[in-house]
Amino acid sequence: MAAGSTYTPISTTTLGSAQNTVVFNSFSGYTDLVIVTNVKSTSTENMSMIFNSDTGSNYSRTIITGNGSTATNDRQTSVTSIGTDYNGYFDGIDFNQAKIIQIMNYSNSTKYKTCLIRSNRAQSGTDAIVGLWRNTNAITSITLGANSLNFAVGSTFTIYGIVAA
Amino acid sequence: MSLILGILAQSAGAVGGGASYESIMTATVSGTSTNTISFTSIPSTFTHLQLRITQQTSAYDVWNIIEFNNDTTATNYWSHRIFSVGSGAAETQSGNNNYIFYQAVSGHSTTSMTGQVIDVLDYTNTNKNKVVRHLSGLDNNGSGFLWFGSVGWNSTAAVNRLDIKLFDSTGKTFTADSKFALYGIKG
Repeated sequence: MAAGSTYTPISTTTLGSAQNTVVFNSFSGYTDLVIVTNVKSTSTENMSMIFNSDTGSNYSRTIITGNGSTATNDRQTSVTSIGTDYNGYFDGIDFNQAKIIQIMNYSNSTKYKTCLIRSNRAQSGTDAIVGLWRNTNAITSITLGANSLNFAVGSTFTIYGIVAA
Repeated sequence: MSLILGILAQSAGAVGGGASYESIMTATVSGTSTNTISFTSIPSTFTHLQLRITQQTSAYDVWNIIEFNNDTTATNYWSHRIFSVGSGAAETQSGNNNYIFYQAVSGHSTTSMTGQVIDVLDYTNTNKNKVVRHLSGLDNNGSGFLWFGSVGWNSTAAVNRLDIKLFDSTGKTFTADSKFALYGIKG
């Protein structure tokens, strides 16, 4: 017998004005978090993610990415955020970027935090990414950023919580 | 639903409002380590299953495998995957096996956890062979591995048992804080 319903929608942000960052800071009592985004901007850009407002060089990622002609690997170490896309970036033309971010065991207080990301934009490419935050603190806030640009009006950001029985 | 573990802590009591995604059972490694996690008597009331794993192993150079209904014959499975070692061209592998992740030498750490999300599709259908899709990764700031692929089981039997094991794991185990959470998704 199943122990209980979960995958609970916590909150959704739909931008009514362009802005540079979106912050989630009200979630507790879950095991994993899932963030789903559908965004555009004024030009081509990548979406960054930091935890607990930590802007230090405490993040890294390993990547598989394809752009329609070439599939490659890449890695970034000791960077100031987790880049959540590569060829699956957003742009200023449309809302064709779709992204799912899985933040695993986010409240564990003895281990670093791992996230799994799938990001896609039909016209440019598709990515799979594993990201790391080298910090054992429980995650209490998540900031998604448009780096040098702003997320456009109509961009959506939804966070879900999953509880393990 | 039962969990063959003994050494694992188990807790119950999920919360939340969604009615189509339910927590079935969770195994958390505590105390003595193990190299096998078994979910047995899986209820047949869902359409799909999802397994969400955060794991750590006691040593590197070890494979994660998935088995159904206690079928331990590797040639009854096949798999394909694309994977990243952090540089160069993306690499692919396939074979008569049920591998879902490889804990590489370079990615081993005592603080970084491997994350895995594994979907078992249409697991009660008795007219189809069973297929799994998975995204598994470990980053350790300069090393690590990322897997993205599928595993097929050459059987039309409904899945009622699922095992996650460390393959060829002489002396290697899942270590404390490793968590294996099984969910059911309704159609």
